[in-house]
Amino acid sequence: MHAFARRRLRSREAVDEFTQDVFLTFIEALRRNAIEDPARVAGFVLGICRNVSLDRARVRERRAALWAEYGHVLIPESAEDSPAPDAMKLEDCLAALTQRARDVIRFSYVEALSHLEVAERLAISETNARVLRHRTLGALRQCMSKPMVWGAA
Amino acid sequence: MHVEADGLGGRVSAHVSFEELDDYLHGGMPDADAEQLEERLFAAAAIGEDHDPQFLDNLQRRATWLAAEGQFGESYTGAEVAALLARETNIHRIDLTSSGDVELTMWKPDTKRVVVHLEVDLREYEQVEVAAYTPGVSEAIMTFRGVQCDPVDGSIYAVCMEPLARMALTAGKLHWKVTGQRSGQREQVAEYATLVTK
Repeated sequence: MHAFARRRLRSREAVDEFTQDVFLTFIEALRRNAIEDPARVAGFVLGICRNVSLDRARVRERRAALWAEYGHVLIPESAEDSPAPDAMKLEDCLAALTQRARDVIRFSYVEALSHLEVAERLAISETNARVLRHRTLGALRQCMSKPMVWGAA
Repeated sequence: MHVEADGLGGRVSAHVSFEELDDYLHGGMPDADAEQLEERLFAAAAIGEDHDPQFLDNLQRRATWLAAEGQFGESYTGAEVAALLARETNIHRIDLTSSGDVELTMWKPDTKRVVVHLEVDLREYEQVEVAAYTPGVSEAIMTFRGVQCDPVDGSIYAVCMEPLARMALTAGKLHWKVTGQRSGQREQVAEYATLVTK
């Protein structure tokens, strides 16, 4: 759901608001017993995502009412604001990357720039920017999956 | 991730590659392909096979948090560190003034960040790296790449969150080698050994 929202929206606040709207609509549907086949819940949620993205104005109008009715069910996001162990690990893994590789992750995943915009910032071709990001993501995933090196000291 | 799911009505392959997902997120995928990928993405999430999307989601959240904290692998200048020290009180500063063994004192428990200042002059060097070694082992356990020096005096200011500094500096004796490239050759510029006393 976050990926769906991130393709369409840039700011974290907008992504969070979008996913909350989808959750609220989903909870409302559950309460109405609108989901007949539990096996099709993924398609149902995808459908809500598409409806919400198509008609944000209408959803915003209903938002206050949905919050009042079902808002207490949503899990608070405050935990996301505190440093988690994997943030420390990510800090360590980022330090081991080259400056250019760090830049590509910052531009793509912090500033939410497109392939084309990242390429322009780094003054390289779009294809090269894409390859660099894929390699860097692979390296980061590998680094994040291992225990931190400092335990070995 | 490679599974079959029928959560969207009919059997749909839920396989979503890392590269596909990255293209999907950053405008490298046409809308028609994106719609198909969304079906697989949601099918994968429904059966708990969405490790790669979760990895990218966590990466985005943690990276945004680190960037907001100024801890996204940034190199600091002396002026920026001075501003940081003026702004925040719970920062511990370590100055490594000359090569050799350095005994460090453990910082206060409420420390939020640790600044390590290496008094070297790297202004003539490119591609500076700082590598950490455990005693008697020739291979570095960690290499900090793309380190930028202060353009004014050529020294290095490394700023990291306290938990990472504690983990890195208090685990035991560590040797640190600072290297850089000059005239196409990599040279060692400084070497330190650190040990934190409790």
